[in-house]
Amino acid sequence: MIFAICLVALLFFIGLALDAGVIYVNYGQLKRAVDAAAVSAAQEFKRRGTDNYTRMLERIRLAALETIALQGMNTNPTVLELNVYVCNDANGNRLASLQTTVPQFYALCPDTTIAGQSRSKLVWVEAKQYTPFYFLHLLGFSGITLKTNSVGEAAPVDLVIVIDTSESMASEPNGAYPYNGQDFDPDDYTSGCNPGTSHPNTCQPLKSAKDAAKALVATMMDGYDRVSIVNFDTVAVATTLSFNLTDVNTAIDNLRLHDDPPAARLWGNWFPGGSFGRVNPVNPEDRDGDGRDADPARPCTLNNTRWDTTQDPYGWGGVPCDDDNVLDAFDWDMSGSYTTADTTLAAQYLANHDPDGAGPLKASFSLASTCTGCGIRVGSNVLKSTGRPGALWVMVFLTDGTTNLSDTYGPSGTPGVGDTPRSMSTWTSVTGWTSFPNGFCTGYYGTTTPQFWNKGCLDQSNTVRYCLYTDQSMCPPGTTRHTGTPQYSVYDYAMDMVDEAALLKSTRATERRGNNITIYTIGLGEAVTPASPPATLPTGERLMRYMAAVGDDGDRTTDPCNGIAVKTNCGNYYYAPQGSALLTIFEDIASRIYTRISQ
Amino acid sequence: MMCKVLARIFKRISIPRLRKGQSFVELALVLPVLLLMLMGLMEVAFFIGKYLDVLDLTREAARFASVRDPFNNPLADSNCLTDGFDFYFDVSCVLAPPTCTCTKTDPWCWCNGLNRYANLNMATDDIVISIYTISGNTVTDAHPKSPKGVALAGGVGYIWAFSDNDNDTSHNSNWQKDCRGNVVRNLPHFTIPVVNSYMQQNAQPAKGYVAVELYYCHSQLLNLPFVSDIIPNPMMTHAYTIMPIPAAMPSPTPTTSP
Repeated sequence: MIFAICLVALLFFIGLALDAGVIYVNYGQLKRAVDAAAVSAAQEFKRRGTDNYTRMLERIRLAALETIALQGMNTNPTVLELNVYVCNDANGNRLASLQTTVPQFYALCPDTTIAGQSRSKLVWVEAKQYTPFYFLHLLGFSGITLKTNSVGEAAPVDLVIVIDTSESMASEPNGAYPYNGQDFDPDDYTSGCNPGTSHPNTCQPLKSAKDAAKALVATMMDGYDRVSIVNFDTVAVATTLSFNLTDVNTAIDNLRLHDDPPAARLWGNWFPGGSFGRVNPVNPEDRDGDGRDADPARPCTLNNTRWDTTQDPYGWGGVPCDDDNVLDAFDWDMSGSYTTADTTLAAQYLANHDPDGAGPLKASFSLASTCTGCGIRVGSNVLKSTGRPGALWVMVFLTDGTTNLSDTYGPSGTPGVGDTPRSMSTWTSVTGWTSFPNGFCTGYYGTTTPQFWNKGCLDQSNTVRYCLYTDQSMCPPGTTRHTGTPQYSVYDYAMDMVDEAALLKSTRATERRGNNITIYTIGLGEAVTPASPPATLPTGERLMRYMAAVGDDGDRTTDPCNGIAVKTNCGNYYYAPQGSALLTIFEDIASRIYTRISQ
Repeated sequence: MMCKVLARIFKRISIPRLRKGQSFVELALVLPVLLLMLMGLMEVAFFIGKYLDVLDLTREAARFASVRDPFNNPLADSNCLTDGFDFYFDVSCVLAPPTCTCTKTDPWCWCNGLNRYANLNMATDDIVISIYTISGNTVTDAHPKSPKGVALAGGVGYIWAFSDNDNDTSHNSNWQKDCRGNVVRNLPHFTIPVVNSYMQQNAQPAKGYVAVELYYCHSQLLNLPFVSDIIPNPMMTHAYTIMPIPAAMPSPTPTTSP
């Protein structure tokens, strides 16, 4: 008898234990499903097309429901009750109703009325599942409702769009626009390059780049994500990271092409047939490479053609000779001889081409105008200085040329008119910077090597990457420390700026690391991959691919483009043969700026 | 001693001496059954605990995968300790034990994960990872294709299987087999038709999903007689989690230039 009683009691406990086991298993499965649903829901916390707030909430809910169903859960409303909450209403205000419905979630939502707090892409997924009992059912207990919740958060995005605004962005390969690369003024061009009262702002491929950039901005969430627009040519200028996407679009519309000084109007003997070497490409007024117009170390006999035939050390039939007191490197009026009008027009050019319209940046006479390193540096500085720590930092970089300029430091003291202007004052982590008054466009003509100016500032000996750090252990592995002669190039500079922006891993423990910035690069047109000359020019597509290799995972050694043919998309690098391809590429990038789930 | 104690108890509750023998007979008859039931209960409890462990592990692995890029893994890296990122192997590393004796220089290294509870057996267990790209609420592509992965029978998807990539080359495609090596299935749980069957028509039409399935042979702890005759020992435990993966969302730009 007593054993019969014990047996019943034991059976009772076994039944109870089995029901408890069923509850545990169901709860485990429900928790897994809700966790996955929270990830799925957070990922839908982004703008898609013309969806409004209500539609977004519906998408979030359906995404959560679908993900729960995929885990094999019964999503029948009689079994599963799903509730999804976000922090803010359609106007971006914190939902007061959360205080009573889900107070735990309300406590997580930032109070945007407090200065410094911005909206969060938080999603609260809560599910209740009815679980039937098996044993206890015999005793009249039919089942229990299990309840669990999970929070998903998509990181907000701080996006910097860097666009090359050098003059060549008015040149569409095989296009209808008659940019000749020599004497083109985007402000005067009546078919419309630069926006203005009489210009339709339709110059290609710049217009396509603007449209594509605006399409990318359209995928950001107003009030949550921020965007900055950086344009670069001889210098780089940034707008502040802004929540207001309308302002961002206006900034994109207002992007203006840089008007390069007219190389075709250099004195004929200075630049015959577009040949390089006789003139300082960063500042034609500066012949001895010290950053100043005054060149006392290179005395010459001045005449009206600015060509001194009394000396011919290089077999050119003479040497360039300019007046140190006037702006006379260009024959602006094309008269064939120097007149005061040339100085006047040169001064007007400088006055009318203030890079940011607000000083202290100054216009220059630089013939080179693709300072890729400047764009990277300014873009990453925007994120480093004002990016939100919890946000996803993204840089989208578009260029149509090869890097041929670095930031310039300018001469010591206050630069005078005709001197190389300073465009950089913050990157002082290396020594020896002041010995590069023309940036890293090295050369001069003189009696010692190199005698001539570097060919268009391009890096001609790219087989070695040079490093400026005095401490070799801080240099990237495989690089050679710069030792004084002109070795460190604009290409080296651009790569260093990439590393400062995004390098997170290195085989050398002591190498300086950068920040966690995801970089997507776009090479536009033939110029980024010139077939000739020189055939191996690395400063275009190879630089873009280096940026993408570092910018995808912070590791330069993992390069998805390794072994991939030129002019081919790979990893975070895109090649656009012409402007019309940009929209598709920017859309693709928008889809790949994937939500980082922070919770 | 035990008898004396029982005798005292029976005295106190006034059970006639003649019935004591009957009670002992009942005890002898029922005790094995009771013990069997108790131990069976323990076995079930252990099994449920192990199932919850592997379920949680698949969740962690899928969560790890969901924020990474499966298409940006050029390295064939079979080492959980090194920095080289191989999406599929590194996802499976989440299910590895935390510590190991291998070093970074070993070409194959399986550890550094979260799994303290269920030691995976290279000869019988398996991890299957599959990725689905969905456009218009229909699976339009699946991954990983060769050489990373293999195609499923009937063209219903692609998978990466741990057993095909571990250092035990004599036991491949474990996921198709039961714990005794018999082939019992030719498809994993998630395939293109299965994923398609769950798509909500009004949901966001473009998305990506990554599925992590774990096939784990659970050995009974007590290995009770009779029980192991009814329930196979070891027994296959199958847990899975599927999570969204933005990197697998349909991309308008192919890998070649537009």
